[in-house]
Amino acid sequence: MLPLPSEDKKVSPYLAFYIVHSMQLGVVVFSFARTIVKEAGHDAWISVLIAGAAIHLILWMTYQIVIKGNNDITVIHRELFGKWLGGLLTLLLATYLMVIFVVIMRAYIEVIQVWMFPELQTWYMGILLSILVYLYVMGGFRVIVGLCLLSFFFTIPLLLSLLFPLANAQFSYLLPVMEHSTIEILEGTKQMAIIFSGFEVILFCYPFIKQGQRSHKWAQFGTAFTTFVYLAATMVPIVYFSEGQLEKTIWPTLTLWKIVDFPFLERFEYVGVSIWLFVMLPNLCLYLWAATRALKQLFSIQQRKMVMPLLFLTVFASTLIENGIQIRQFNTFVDWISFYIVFAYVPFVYLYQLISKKMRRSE
Amino acid sequence: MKKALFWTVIAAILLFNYNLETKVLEDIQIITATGYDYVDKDTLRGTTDAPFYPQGQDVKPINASFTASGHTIHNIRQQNQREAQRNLGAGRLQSFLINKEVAKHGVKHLIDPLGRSTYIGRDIKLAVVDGSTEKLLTADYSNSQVTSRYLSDLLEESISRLAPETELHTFLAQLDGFGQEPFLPIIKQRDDHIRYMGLALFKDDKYVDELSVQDGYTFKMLHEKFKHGIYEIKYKNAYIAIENLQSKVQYSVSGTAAKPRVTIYVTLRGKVQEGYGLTLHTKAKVHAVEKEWRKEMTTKAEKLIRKLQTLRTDSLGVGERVRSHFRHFPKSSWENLYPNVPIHVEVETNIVNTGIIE
Repeated sequence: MLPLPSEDKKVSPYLAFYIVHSMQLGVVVFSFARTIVKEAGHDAWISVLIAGAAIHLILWMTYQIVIKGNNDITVIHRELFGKWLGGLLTLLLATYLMVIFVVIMRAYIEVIQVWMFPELQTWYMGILLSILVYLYVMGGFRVIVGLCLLSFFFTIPLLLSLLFPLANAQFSYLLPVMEHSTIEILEGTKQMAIIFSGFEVILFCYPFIKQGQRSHKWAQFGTAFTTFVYLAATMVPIVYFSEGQLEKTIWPTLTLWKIVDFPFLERFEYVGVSIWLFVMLPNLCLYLWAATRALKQLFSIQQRKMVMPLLFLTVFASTLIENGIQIRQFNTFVDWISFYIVFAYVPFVYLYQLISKKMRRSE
Repeated sequence: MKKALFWTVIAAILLFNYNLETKVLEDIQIITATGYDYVDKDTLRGTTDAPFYPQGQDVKPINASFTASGHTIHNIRQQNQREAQRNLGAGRLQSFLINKEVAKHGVKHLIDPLGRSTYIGRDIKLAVVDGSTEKLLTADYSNSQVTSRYLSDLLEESISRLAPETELHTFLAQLDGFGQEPFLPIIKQRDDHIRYMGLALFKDDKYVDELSVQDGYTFKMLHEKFKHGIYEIKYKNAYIAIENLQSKVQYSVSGTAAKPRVTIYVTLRGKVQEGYGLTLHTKAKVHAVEKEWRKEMTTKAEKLIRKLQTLRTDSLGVGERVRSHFRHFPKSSWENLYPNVPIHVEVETNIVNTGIIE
């Protein structure tokens, strides 16, 4: 059992807001509106609200798990399931984090390839991103949290850019409310809930937050803010694009930015894609940090030594995914795993922990 | 030592594999307008305007245009490149012209690359040309140095006061959306000017008919909120010009999904600009003018709507309003329903002032 991190490596509880928010917001913001509109049509915004509410609940469970265990998930796994089964679960979870890392990195590189530099090679951009991620992760957890905070302030102005398309909006596209069946809306909710995932890293970084229990409130605020952002990013494409058009558009949010026009700037989407690097970077860093942390807890290897090999592995893996169709297939597969991690695995650990604590007490 | 070697290798790999094409503004000839003419069913004749800026200080840009035939827009551009002195860049395309004959045969294949491309903005102006786009784009005009500049100013500034707002985005949205059909301004080369001729109506992606400039203005009144232009009405054997200060429109749907009824409420606020021999010092007299104004606008609007219904093109987007009013509106029935839907226009007019004399 490894000791808990020392006080000087921890961050203040309110920073949980930025950690959770920036982890939930990712490169998927560009494309998610289309996937949920395919399921729930113009009622997709209801799906976003329901998904947000569900995520609040799951986040509460996540916090209950780490508060009761008072350590990170690797230790809790070992306590609950024993050395071998617990270790296996931790290893699977770490693999999952690295797979998400590949998905995010490849999706962002695709956006750059389609929107900015068609001739850019995947491995080239992969290495460039990896160097950035390497530098941040080597800086340690506190540096990564600082990056989360920066990413929050960089992206707030981008929210305002959603106001521009409203000038051409047709609000009748939102009506009639609740035209789609409950099943269709729930189908959309399922798609949406996956997009909220990312907050699971709390399972790993909880011991690094001072007075962890107090950070719960902030994490919930973070989720609420993410819900608001996603709500806005769903409503605006719905009123701006006609339904047939939205279903064709692969990156609705980016396409929206095409209409943003400043006298000194003809194409806002290039700025948008570039700033979005700061949204995606904390995601990459924290996933990698969490995965290496898990390996450290498992095998007692120095965390720093794992960063470079893992990065090479991910760059290699992302070059294997060649085109947009493969990216979306891979994405669907990972979404499916994400869904079960968030809505089956977390509640399962929560209940298992609850029962085993009760059993132990009665003994 | 090992570490330094590792980073050197990485840096070298990145340095030697850098292969992004740099685009220096001075080395690119920017396409500002393109137009497409009809050759036969599969072939288009495309003309590209890319003004050339010679080097040096205070030099005037030279009109440069290239024409070629091909099946796809991008092939035509490649053909154009055979003649151009610099690399042609499409990032600042502002006007996109379609010959009427091409429009009659459908424009989907022309619009698709515009919607697909990341280089082209969504606010470029589309227009239908009565006559050859090649002639229009290659001509010199006395009131402008650069042809494409004149064209884009006309489409962006002047026409927007007379015709409903159109741009690439609205066209794409209307094409793919339910219960709405696209429309575009028509322009024509006339002596050494380009002239706005009215509104081209599309059914799906095919040109079907056009509206006169006057009807186009009435169409704008029924389509969107705006505040420009002049209404001319005949009142007691004299003509009065009323400036539009504000025009608002609202659609109201009633009835059932099988028998919808639509009422369009238009609110106009105006200012009398010309009215020789007219004394408007009493409320009653102002009311009389307002009444006449209301009557004329209602007649014009209803006539226009009848015309659209006979053409079976729902350019005003009535179908979208009807759909949003009824839960589970049967979309397939709209096509047959539309020509017979009762659409009424209620105009409310309001003369705010009469200038600095009564």
